[in-house]
Amino acid sequence: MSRTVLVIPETLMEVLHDRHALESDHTRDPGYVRVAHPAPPEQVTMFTVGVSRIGDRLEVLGHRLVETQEGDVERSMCFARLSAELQYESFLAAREAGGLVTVHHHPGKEFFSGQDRVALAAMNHHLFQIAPGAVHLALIFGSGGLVGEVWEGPESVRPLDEVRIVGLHGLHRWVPGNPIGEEICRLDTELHDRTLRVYGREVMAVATRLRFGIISVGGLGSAVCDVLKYFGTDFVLVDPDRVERHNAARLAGYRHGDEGVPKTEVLRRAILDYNPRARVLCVNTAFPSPESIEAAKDCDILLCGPDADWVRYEVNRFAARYLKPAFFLGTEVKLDPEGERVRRIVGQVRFFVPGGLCCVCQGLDGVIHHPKVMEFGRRTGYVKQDAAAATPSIVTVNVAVANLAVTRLLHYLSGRPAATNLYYDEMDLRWDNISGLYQRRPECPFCAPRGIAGLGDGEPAALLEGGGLDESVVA
Amino acid sequence: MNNHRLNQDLKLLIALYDNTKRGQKNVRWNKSKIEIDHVPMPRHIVPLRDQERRTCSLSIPIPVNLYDPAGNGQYHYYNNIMVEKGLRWRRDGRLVDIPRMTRYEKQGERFTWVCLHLNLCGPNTNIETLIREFQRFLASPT
Repeated sequence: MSRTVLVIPETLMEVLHDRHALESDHTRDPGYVRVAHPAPPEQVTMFTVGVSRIGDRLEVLGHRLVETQEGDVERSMCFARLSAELQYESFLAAREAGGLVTVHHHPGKEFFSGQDRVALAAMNHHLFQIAPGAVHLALIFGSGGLVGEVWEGPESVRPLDEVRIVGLHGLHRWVPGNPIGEEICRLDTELHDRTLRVYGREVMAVATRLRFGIISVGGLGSAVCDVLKYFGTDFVLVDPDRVERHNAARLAGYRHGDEGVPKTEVLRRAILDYNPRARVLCVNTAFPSPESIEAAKDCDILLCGPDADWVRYEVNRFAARYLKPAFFLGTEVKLDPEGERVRRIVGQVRFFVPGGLCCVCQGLDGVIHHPKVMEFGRRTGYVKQDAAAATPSIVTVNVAVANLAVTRLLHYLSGRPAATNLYYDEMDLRWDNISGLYQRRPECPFCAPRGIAGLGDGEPAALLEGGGLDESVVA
Repeated sequence: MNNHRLNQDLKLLIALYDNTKRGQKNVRWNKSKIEIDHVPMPRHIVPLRDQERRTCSLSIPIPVNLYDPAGNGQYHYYNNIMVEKGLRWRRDGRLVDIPRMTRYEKQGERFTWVCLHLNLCGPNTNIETLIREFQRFLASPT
């Protein structure tokens, strides 16, 4: 059955709260959002959205608020009229981004009135002429919650089925028509008895409902799987590699004789051994292959612990585009200049959540090259041969960092605003919250206000055509 | 990667190095709109002084975070250039290998590296700075 979901960053939701006098308490009741007191005169808010299509599911992703100037909106007690200039500019912005959301509120019950229908028909007529292929989501808040309709053309309309609010204070889901936000979730209370006493039923219910995407299931990724399988039930595992002998000492779930088996299959077996009813999808290609992108689009939270910064960069870009909270894990054993003695064993967990700082603004720096270029560097000796395989690594730091990430994830699901950047030092046996060391770069293409957050499937700015090169000279 | 600034670089390279009179395309890149990893430049003219050859092929690796902000008003920039092997320099009347280029030469590979390590640039810098730096190195490769 096709579903339509609005994914909206918490920061954008706060603007709606201010303008439409919304009242909510996400921490106690995720579904409780309603107009607290009607605030005349009438108010309209517009924001552009990106679109993500996953099978027959349509996700509408909040992108950027349409700024209005004095005189753009004519307001009275019972209607708000947008100027032609504002409408035209917002339609152009919708064409670029992928769609438009218009929001207003009713003092009483939320519903589409006759006046709304007339205004919507006129607006859609012009919008789809200027931005064919865009989507238009009309939202109405009222005393009982909200109601929404998604238009994919002047004649094609379907109801909004779900709203997801993503932000620093957690992931909240709201199903219109289910105003108390009641979660229908089968939870094995006997199995999770002790855990429920720590995090409570709400967090466990959310965790078992989410789909976790684990990108790269090597030493770090497998350690994450090994902990997360006790909380989650739905996983997507992405890794192109097969088990080699030297992986065995760090790969959770490894059994003697697994050499040559895809790493994802080893982890799948480990998860299903614990919970035979878990759902595990294995994608044996490297991120960002088209298959891995399609699989990751269907995930709620991403966790990645690859060897290469290039993958982190691509996951960061993906997470920003599709508004996915993402954990970036890394470990490093630092040797002295002679390469004989271990100086430090360190690890780091960076957490990107839409509206917060992205992984790049949290220190993913330096020149990052495409794997083809790195491969050429290895062949010519510019990059140390088999650098990834030869790098010292130990399972203890992987497990510690994986635990740190999953703990932070549980904190996030329980709505605790906390660290987004954790640094672990295994030699001193301590971890530090270093979130305060980083600031958003004003022109960041991922997390700054003018960035790509929420653009979804929309094409990035095209590169110049006509290069005339079909095959790589380097390869 | 800032595609807008990269496009400006490609346009600049075409203006500087394509030979429209002879119909020679001296600047190429992948056709794919979403992925670009290097810009090969066959027949790049090297400084005449003391060089054995007049032209050589280049390939400029494009960092995936090219022109992304790196903080403090700076941006990530090109790091190095791949150069066709066999380029030699005349020193004391004899043709000798260029030292920084031979360090990474491997048999069977057509290209080798010249590390310029420019790494960061300002808001108005373009690829011309990289090419100028490379030409300066070839003019006096010590």
